[in-house]
This record gives sequence, structure tokens and C-alpha cells, in this order.
Amino acid sequence: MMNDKQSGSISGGEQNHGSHALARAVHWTLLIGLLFSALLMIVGLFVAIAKDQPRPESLINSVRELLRMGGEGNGVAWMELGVLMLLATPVLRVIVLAIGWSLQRDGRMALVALVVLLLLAVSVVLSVG
Amino acid sequence: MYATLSNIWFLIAAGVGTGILGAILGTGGGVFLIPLLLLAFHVPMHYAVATSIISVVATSSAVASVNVERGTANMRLGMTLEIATALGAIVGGWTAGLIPAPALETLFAISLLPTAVLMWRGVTESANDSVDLSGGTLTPALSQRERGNTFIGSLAGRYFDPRRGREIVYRIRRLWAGLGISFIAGNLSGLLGIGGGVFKVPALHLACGVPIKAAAATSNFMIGVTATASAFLYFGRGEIRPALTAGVALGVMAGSAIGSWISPKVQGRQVKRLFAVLLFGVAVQMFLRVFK
Repeated sequence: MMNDKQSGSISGGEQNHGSHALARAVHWTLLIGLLFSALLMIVGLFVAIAKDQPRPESLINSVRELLRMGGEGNGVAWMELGVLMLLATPVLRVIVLAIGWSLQRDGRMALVALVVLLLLAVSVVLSVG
Repeated sequence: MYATLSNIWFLIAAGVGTGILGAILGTGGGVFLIPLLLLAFHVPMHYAVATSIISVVATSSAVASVNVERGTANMRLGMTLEIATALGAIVGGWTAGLIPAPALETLFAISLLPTAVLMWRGVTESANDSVDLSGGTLTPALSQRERGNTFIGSLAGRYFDPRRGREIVYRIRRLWAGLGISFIAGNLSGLLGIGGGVFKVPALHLACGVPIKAAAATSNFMIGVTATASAFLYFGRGEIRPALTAGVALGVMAGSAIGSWISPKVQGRQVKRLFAVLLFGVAVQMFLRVFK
């Protein structure tokens, strides 16, 4: 059987790393994130249309402020929260994989996932700056 | 501008159409969405790109959730290449902020031409790309250095192909080429708001030996993180408009679901070629818009 990692053959394939559970975790993370963001956007759209709310001149960057505005019935704030939730979904997927690979004691892949997370963090920092 | 019934339904409809096309043609849909927003809705280029990037995140997440469970997306390879795509996307997203709209439109129109050519030609899989588990040798052949690299070995993948009725096993060669391709694809994604799968899939197949099905699923898996990396930059610059983006993204989500259902019924080379011609026409239209 060709399962010698040293020879560069098929030993580290998806299934050999017991990744079925991890794949399911990623599947549900993506699905729940997507549905939750869609729900926020749908609610926001209906509220904004029903109340004929104007689009703000600039984006609100504070999640706390968005939640406050959403609580006051601002549909656009809900839409923006939905967009943020959508952006958070792939980030959560990377976090799930980083944790999963760490639990599987796959240090190299956990490190790779952490590097990707670091790059996403750089993007957030650049966007705020 | 208000989020009113009069315009939001058109935006949702545009998203649905893009999602259907994306699912049928195997693209993120950005190549159709951006010209539509630009030419039909008169949305400024940077806002159109930002909206497209968010839509790409939505389609990628939806499709990837299915491919990951089926096992066709190689998560280990995808995550490794995401280092390059995310880096490329950050550079692209940052550069886009410095480029004036007409120049960005020109670059987008130029990118449509090779996209149309690749869509017209399609990608055919070589029979030697992978073997079943009972096979004696594994392809593609690896260099001496690659054979000794345990990390490259750990990126190998396998999935069940119902069309062939057997398990497909493959390993990765020339990881450096995959990283280079991914950086360029990420850069194009961040700069122009497209998924870049139309370039990445054939490149991963030809350069790295990844079977087409796995290359497409892995490319899609990566696109979510790639697009997110640049989306934060567009968000920071205030180029993501909540009502516009929410309307289109919701439409794209619905359209992707419809398209996945329609896709097996209309799948065919002629359909792809028809849209390749359409894409060429869109490119010409965009050139005329920029240079008139």
C-alpha cells in the first residue's frame, strides 16, 4: 500500500487525517454563517423598505453601534451586520480548521491556518487604518 | 439613494441571474455581475467591485459547504494556497484603492478577454492525472525533491467520482507553481472583484496535477477567504453599500441554489461557448464605455 509519507505518496490525504468530523464542522460553520447572514440581510431589507429608511452617507464601523442602531429598528444597520456576518463566515471556517488540526496534533497545518488568520487580521488592521 | 422597492427588486433579480449563471458555468459570477452593475445600474466601478466581492464570498461559502462534505475540496491544499491568495488579495484590494475608476474598468475589460477564451476552450482532463486505489503507480510523477518532502506528501487528496464510479487519488506536484498561481489569482480577485477560478482551476490542474473536479472544488473553497481578505479593505474605504450589497448577495445566494439544480440539465459545451461570446461582447461594451 502506498502510504509512506516520506516518499511523498498518499498518506496525508483528507480521510487519513480523520478529517471527516472536521469536514462536517466546516460544512456546518459555512452553512450556519451563510443562513444567519442571509437572515440579517432579509430582516434589514424588509425593515428598510417598510420604513423607507435612507442609506447613511458613511458606513458604521463599530459593531456595538450597529447593534444599537439595529435595536432601534434601523434596517440598514441589520443589513450591514448581515454583510459583516457574511465576511466573518470564512474567517470562522479558518478558526475551526486551526482548532481541528491542533486537536489532531497536526502542527504544520494548524500553523498554516494561523498564518492565514494572521493575513486576515492584517487586512482588518489595514482597513481600520 | 434609498433602499426602495423600485430598485431593490431589480438588484435582487440581477443577483439571482448572476448566481444562476455562476452555478451553470462554474464561475463566481463576478465577470457578469460587475458589467451588469456598471452598465445597467450605473453603479460606480469601486462599489461594483466591492459588491461583487461580497457576492463571491456568499457563493463560495454555499458551494464549499457542499464540496467539503462530499470530500472533493482538498482542505489541506486549499488552506496552504490560501496563504498566497490572501496575500495577493490584500495587495490587489489595496492597489484598487489607488487606481482611478476608468483604469480599473479597463483592467476589468482586459481580464474578460482571456476569461472568455478559457470559457470557450474549456478544460479537459487527462486520463493520466489520477489513479484508483488499486492502481500500481501514482501520478503525477514527482521530482526527487518532492518525493522527499513530507509536507507536499501530506497535501495529497482523494475523493469518490460517481461519473467514473471509483475513488480518485492524487498527489500534488510543483507546489511553488500553485502558490504563484494562487497569488496572481488572489491579486486579480482583490483588484477586480472576480473569483479567479476560471484561471486557477486549469492552472492547478496543469501545473500541480490536481484533477479538474478537485481543482474546481478546492479553488471554490479558497475563494471565500481570498475575497474576504480584500473585502475588509473595501469595507474600510466605505465602498461596500449595505442595501446594494445585501440585495445582490441575497439574489446571488438564491440564484446559486437554483443554478445548482438547473446545472445538470443544461450543462454542455455549447452553453459555455454561448456565454463566452456574450462575455466577449461585454468586454467590447466596456472598452467602448471607457474610451468614448
